[in-house]
Amino acid sequence: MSAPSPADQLALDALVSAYALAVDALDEAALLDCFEPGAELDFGGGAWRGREQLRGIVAAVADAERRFHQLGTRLFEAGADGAEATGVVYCTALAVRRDDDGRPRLQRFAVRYDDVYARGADSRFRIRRRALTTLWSE
Amino acid sequence: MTRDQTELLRLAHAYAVAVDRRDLGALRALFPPDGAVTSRIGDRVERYAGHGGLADLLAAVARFDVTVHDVGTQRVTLVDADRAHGEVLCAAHHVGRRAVGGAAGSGAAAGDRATDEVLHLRYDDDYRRGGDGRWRIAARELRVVAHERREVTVA
Repeated sequence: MSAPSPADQLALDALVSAYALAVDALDEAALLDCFEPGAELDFGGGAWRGREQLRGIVAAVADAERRFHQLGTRLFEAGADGAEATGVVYCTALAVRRDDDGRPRLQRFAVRYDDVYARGADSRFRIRRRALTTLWSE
Repeated sequence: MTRDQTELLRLAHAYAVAVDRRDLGALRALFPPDGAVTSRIGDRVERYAGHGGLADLLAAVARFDVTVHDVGTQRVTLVDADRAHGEVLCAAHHVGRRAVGGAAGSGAAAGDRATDEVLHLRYDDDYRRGGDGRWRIAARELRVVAHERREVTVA
């Protein structure tokens, strides 16, 4: 494993940002475009595989009135043949939901993504596998 | 971005992940043999020099169940072809059932309440290119700008 080229570093950075922005916007098409067709998202308690199941990501956060996926530390490693890359990405995910009495409540989740990316036939990187770990919440 | 900028910006992220994974090999690879981290928390100054010092640094961090060094604002400035300076802001989360500087306690169990000691850090870094062409952290000075304690729930 080694540091990606500057171009790949920017492309991978754009990919993980596109995921975060798509989730916040509930933009299913943009979100699914971040994944390979057979990609997997493992969220600890289970996993979604393939684009049909990955729609579950949007469904899981759609009840929140507002979402805010703030990315912090991210480290990408290039695979040996350039076709794959891996990454670890930290994210502070905020969600605003209403309590029973209608008052807004801010939830904060510290999340780590452990990712595998694959370069497609169009030379774009997409997520092949993402393992999501919620480290703590408040 | 140039290759130098990309590689220099990456150092702070690689440091954060190596520390949070307690990966001494990965951490050592980021420093030259004479590299050092100097930490200033209030009046307390601690210096972790050389590859032995980095092991002590990891041991200090490993008292916590989970740490997250979350890198934010970052600027790197090339001094010359082989030296650069970096300014890095980082929210360093230390999660466990203990206070910063306190004694080790039992690990947090599932669904438990825990304490997140958040150190809002500023790193001032000197980077140096080695004979192999790779950039490393020659000196890192760490200052705590602000400190807070949050009650959190661990999964």
